[in-house]
Amino acid sequence: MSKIKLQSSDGETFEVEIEIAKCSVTIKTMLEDLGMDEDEEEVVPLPNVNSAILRKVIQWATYHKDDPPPPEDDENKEKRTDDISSWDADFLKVDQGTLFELILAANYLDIKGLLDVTCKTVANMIKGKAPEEIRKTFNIKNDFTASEEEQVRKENEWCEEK
Amino acid sequence: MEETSNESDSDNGYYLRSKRRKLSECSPKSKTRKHIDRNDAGKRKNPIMHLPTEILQNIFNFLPYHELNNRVRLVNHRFKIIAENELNVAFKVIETDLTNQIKKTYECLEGTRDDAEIKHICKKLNMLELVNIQHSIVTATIWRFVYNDYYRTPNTCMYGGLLLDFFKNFLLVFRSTPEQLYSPMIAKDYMLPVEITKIVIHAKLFCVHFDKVTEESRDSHIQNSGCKLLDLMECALFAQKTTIFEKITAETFTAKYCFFFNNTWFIALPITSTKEMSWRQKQRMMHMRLRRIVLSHSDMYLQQAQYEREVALRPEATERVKRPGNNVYTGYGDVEDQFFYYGVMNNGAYTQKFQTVHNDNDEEDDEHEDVDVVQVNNGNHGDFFRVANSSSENMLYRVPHLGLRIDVSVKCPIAYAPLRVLENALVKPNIKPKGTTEINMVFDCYGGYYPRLPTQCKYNFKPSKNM
Repeated sequence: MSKIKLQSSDGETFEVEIEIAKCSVTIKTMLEDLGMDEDEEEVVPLPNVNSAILRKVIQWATYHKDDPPPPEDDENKEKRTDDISSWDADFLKVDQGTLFELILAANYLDIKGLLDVTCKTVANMIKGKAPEEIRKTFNIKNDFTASEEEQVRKENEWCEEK
Repeated sequence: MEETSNESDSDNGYYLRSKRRKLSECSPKSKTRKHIDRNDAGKRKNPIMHLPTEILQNIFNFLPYHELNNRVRLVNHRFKIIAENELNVAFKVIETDLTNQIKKTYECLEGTRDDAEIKHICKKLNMLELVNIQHSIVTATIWRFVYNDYYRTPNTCMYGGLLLDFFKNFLLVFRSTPEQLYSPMIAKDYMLPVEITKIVIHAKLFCVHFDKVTEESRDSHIQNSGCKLLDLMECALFAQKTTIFEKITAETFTAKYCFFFNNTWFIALPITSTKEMSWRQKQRMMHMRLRRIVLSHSDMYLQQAQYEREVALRPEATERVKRPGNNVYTGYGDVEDQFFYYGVMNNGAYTQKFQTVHNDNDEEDDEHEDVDVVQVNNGNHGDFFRVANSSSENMLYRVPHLGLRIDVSVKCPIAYAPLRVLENALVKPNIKPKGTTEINMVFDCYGGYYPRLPTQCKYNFKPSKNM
């Protein structure tokens, strides 16, 4: 199995099977565009991902290497968030900072499966919560004036949640 | 992991002045980064606020619309802007989706001659058309105030999140298991699945609420709400519309139309004034009245058209296609010195009420459709307008029992023109509309002649800020 070297922003190098690295569309395109020879010892620099996050990403990609390719994004698909596998759920039991770094890395590396599952995890942290609880969860400041808040509340009255 | 916050601008947690940022300006990049250290500290404190907008959009995509609307919108400005954008986009996407589905379903008809299959396709089309009418009525009600390409809109959005969820759910089920939706329609014709009745009920609630809370309460809406009257009437798929003239220049839109709603009535009785109403309230009531008439007229005559379509498409039907049951809609209410009474009835109800000779069988379901009656009705209306001015005797003889004619003349800045006009216009109008909007409407309902009720009512749209 041929391997490839990925270098994180802080200079650490990771040796990964090419097939695993290729679950990142960004890396896949890079390799194709560069027409990389499989025998050559190339190092792919990833200036946007630090070593801690890259290690997590590689761990995720290794576990999911035999997954079927994720379906194309479809506006009309049901937006489910209750279909996160237990392995992924455990894998994503990390602090918020790491979770968001993973999202950014998945976005930059273009790994749809990881991006989806991380975004779903955040969506689940928002789901069912009142605005104040959401603010508390993410440490967000309320920057509305009283009248702005009142306006939105008034608009929402048409379908008051019981 | 949660971090507790000591951050707060003031004791009550509010900023004292309002701020509004554009979606594109929301990303942390746009903030001044004088102190990178501070920025990093912020990242550790509330990392979610440092995610780029596209990522937040991606996350919000996984939330139901009513949560985006009722909760996420209230978190902070940035969440509000992104959530509202999602809601507006969703509403547009549903429109495109409905149009595509109708087109696709029609195409299915061409590929089959099997009666059972045609029957199912008919039911599918019926559902889509019904939902589409609801969508277009909501569009006519809100588009001027939510988002458009023609002028600045106030700070609001398509805040019917729950309604969006119902639309979306309908389309989802329609795509995956359509038979689940139309099985009640197969068992009992014209019976609607719960997915559709939810849309109908909530669309109505939402429109009434929107008129009142968003349109009536805001100064900036006075001018641009004018042609909403026309937007609503343009939704009447089965009313006859005659364009007397239409003139579109770079600055102004002038036009005159005549709408005719068959089997419809609209009476304005003078009464002793009980309470004073502001011009805006009156305008809102007029929107509501028109919406009710347009919706019930469209519903009833859509049903008739769907019935006729199915009869035509299924010449070899083993069981008889049932025609729509008799249906009458009435609405009423008073505004200052006028009492309004209006309504619509379908062909079956009209026949039963005014032409009992033709309908001597009470169980109309067991009869074949009496197409003649339908045609005679339409013929009467046409004849009537041709001879109305020439002979009063003729008029008495031919006057229809029902039928509502609405003449509308309009003059307004081009940016405020009806949606249909703007969508077809080649040039986008100026951002700052100049001039006033004037709309004159005349409601003629000759059917009022028999019971000696007033047959005409006028309504003028001439807003002024003081009213």
